[in-house]
Amino acid sequence: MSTTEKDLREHFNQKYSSFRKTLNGSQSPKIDELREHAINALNQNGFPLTRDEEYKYTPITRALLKSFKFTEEHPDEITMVPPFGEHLISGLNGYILVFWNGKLVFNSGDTPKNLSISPLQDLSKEQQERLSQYLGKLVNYQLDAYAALNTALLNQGSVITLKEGTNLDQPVVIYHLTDASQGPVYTQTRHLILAEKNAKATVIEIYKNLSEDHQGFQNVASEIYLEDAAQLDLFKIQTDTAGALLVDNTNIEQKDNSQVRCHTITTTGDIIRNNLNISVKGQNCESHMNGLYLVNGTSLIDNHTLVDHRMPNSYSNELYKGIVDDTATGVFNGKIYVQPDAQKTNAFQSNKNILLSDKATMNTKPQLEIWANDVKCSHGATTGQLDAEQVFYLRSRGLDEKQATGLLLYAFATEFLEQVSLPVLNEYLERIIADRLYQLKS
Amino acid sequence: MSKDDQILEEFTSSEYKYGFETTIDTDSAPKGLNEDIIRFISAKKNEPEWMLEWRLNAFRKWKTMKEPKWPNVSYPEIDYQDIIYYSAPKQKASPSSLDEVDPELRETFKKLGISLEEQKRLTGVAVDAVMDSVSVATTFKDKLAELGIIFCSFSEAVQNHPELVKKYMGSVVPINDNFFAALNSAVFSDGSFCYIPKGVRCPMELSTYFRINAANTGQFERTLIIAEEGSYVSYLEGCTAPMRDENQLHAAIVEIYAEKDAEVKYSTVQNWYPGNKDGVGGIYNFVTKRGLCNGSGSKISWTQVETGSAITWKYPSCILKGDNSVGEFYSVAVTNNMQQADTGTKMIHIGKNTKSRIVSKGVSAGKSQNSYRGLVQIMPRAVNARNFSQCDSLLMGDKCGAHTFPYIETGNKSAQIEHEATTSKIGEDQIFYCNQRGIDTEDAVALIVNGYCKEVLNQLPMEFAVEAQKLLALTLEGSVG
Repeated sequence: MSTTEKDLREHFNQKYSSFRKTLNGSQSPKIDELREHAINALNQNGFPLTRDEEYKYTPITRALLKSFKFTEEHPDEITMVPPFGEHLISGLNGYILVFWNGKLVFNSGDTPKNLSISPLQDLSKEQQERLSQYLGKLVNYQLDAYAALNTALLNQGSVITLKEGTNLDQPVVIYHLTDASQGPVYTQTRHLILAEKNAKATVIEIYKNLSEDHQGFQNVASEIYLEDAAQLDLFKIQTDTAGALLVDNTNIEQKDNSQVRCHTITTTGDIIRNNLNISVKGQNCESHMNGLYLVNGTSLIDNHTLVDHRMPNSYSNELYKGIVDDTATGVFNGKIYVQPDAQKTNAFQSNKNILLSDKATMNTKPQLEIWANDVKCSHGATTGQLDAEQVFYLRSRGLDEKQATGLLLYAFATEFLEQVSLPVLNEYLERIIADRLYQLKS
Repeated sequence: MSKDDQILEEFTSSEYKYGFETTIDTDSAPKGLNEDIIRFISAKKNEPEWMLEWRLNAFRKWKTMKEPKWPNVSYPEIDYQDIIYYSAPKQKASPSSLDEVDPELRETFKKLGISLEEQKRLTGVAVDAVMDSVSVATTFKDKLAELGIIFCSFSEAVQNHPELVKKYMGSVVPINDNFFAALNSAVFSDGSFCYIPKGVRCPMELSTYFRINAANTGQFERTLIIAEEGSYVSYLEGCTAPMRDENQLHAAIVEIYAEKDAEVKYSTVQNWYPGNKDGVGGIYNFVTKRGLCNGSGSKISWTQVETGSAITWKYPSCILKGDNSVGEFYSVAVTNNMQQADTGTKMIHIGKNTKSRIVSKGVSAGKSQNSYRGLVQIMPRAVNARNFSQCDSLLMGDKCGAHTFPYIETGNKSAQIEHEATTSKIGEDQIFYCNQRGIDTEDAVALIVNGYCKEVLNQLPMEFAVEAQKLLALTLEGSVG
């Protein structure tokens, strides 16, 4: 008998109640209350099916129902720390956190005074009490069922605080490793990043699926607060996630003069869904969203972004590019809201896609909702193939068909790298893009 | 009263000049909707058995459907049992010449500037006038018949050309297509029917003029246009209603069927009563319009100027089934005061080398909400499909909203899809430039808006283009400053 959406909820409700028992009242009542609200919201709204507008093109719930064998789910205790060294990106130094199936297994520690990284599960009741004004305030458990699930089971994760005026010398690097070699796993992690006034940092999140023997489902949620004039570069690297089911909810709040640059790159995965929500609550803010997806096989990559301009004089810019091959599917939904108070907003959005095969699909929905009149907003979306004239130009200069298309695709994709300033990362991603394009073409 | 106030007063009173009501005897069904009402309508129209069955079938489907909640509009729940589904001006059965039409009726259409009288032959537009869901007069019938063109009311078509109606009705918009289409299929009272035979180029513009007159009634008309191989027709549609404090429902269906190399151009100037400036009254305009390019090389072009209605919910669409077929959609949607519009198009590319073009211009003023919602879908089989979409919004005032919801689904690598959208306001420098040359602000806005909409207005037949330009200026009156 096939599992239904109700079974899925049942399963996670059981998980929730046994998880509650293990906590045994050791937690702040405020956080407990948040979990309770979240599980209620999940039970009320249910997991999204494709008739749900937000998940119209992304049958992730169906994929869970179909292939996820919860009865065989691997117990999540880790008795010994697995050797994870080989999965780290060589040369990428920083303050490193490694989560293995949702458990923190490595924390490089040794942080300077102005940076604190603490495991979420190790916080004292008092600390939890203090953070309750941030936790669960941005991740909306009413709107997204997976965010609700993450909030209900909130336990493992990190709290990263950048003190006033910090300028970090090294990036914070967070690895999310999923190992489903022993059986199907559901893993989740939760992050809270607080950047105080004038703090400046780079945070790199890396998602990896280590084994395709069983299904691994990863559910990550982050809440990021940028105080006045704080600056953050946020990377999401999803290049080693073959066979993964992944939902990532990232919610950012910006205060006056703050700047955020988000870079999301996805090249593999079964079904991957990224929700990037930015709420601009200050003036003169800058928000950049930079995305690239290169997909083939039967992968489905879905990027949903939302910029909510609530205050005047801010600027947002979004560029998502994609190359889709085989029977893969790309989904893009970019929303820009300009609220009545957000006069003089400049908001731009662009989504460009190239389809390489007749069975590839691209569904895009660039959406503008504007309630203020003195604004400049535009969006554009294109889907097509390489320009025959450009290919011809290169061929007339002696390149063969493959080289010519390869060069053009490379040029199309590497626009993403123009905004990646960290040299180690730039080199690493360039290699990945090149390899990936080589696979796509052959 | 200061001079400014006086001017303002004038504007508000000149808001809607078609808001008069004609006192005319009507023949109505009781309020409510059930199978008996449908039998009543069918009997009134002396319909054959198959037509009644078709209606009842639609009604049964409708009962199982839910009213769509996804449009970006809000309105109080509609009580479908509180509407009169059939109302007809009383007159002698099927007038054979215009002289037999009730003079009061003729007067009404005269006030609206619709040329029912033959002496207006010079304007060269054949009109089918529909009042409260019933066709009251169709002009130029005989002349068109010489060419083999059938242009008559829908009920006449059911009587005289049942084979055509049976074959095509519901072939583009099936009865269970959506909630309002099902409702219309069950209770539609009349509408226009147009058939252009093979190879005929219709020599004049065909036009339907819709008028809601009676209170508490819903208007449910149905238009069916069939263009046979190689034919051409240009079709116009206009509409007005009296000013009333209540909301009236208008749920129409337009179906266009184009065979090989046929071309149909359908233009609408929609000017239903939009309600007063506090949002009281006005028409709920829930319309399903769809064209099927069945044959290769066929072309369907929709042009609409939407200035009226309290709520507009309308997506004129093209199904590009034939190879090399072309679909076009040109739209200007203007909302002022408390109006809400959720309008756009669907372009479904099925055949090879199909092309579509979407130009949508939204203007919102006052406290209105204006949404563009569109779908461009390229099927895997639609090799070399091409689409260009442009949807621009113009915001006047800081209490209105403009929204775009474009869905673009591409299932084929050879497709070329472009979509662009901008939102902006009228620049102060533009207004200043006009002021400086002696054009007052109000006229300057009208001028700029007309320029902004020009791309769409240029698509309209000349008679309509003039009317549309005036309408635009009228709708936006008082919205500046």
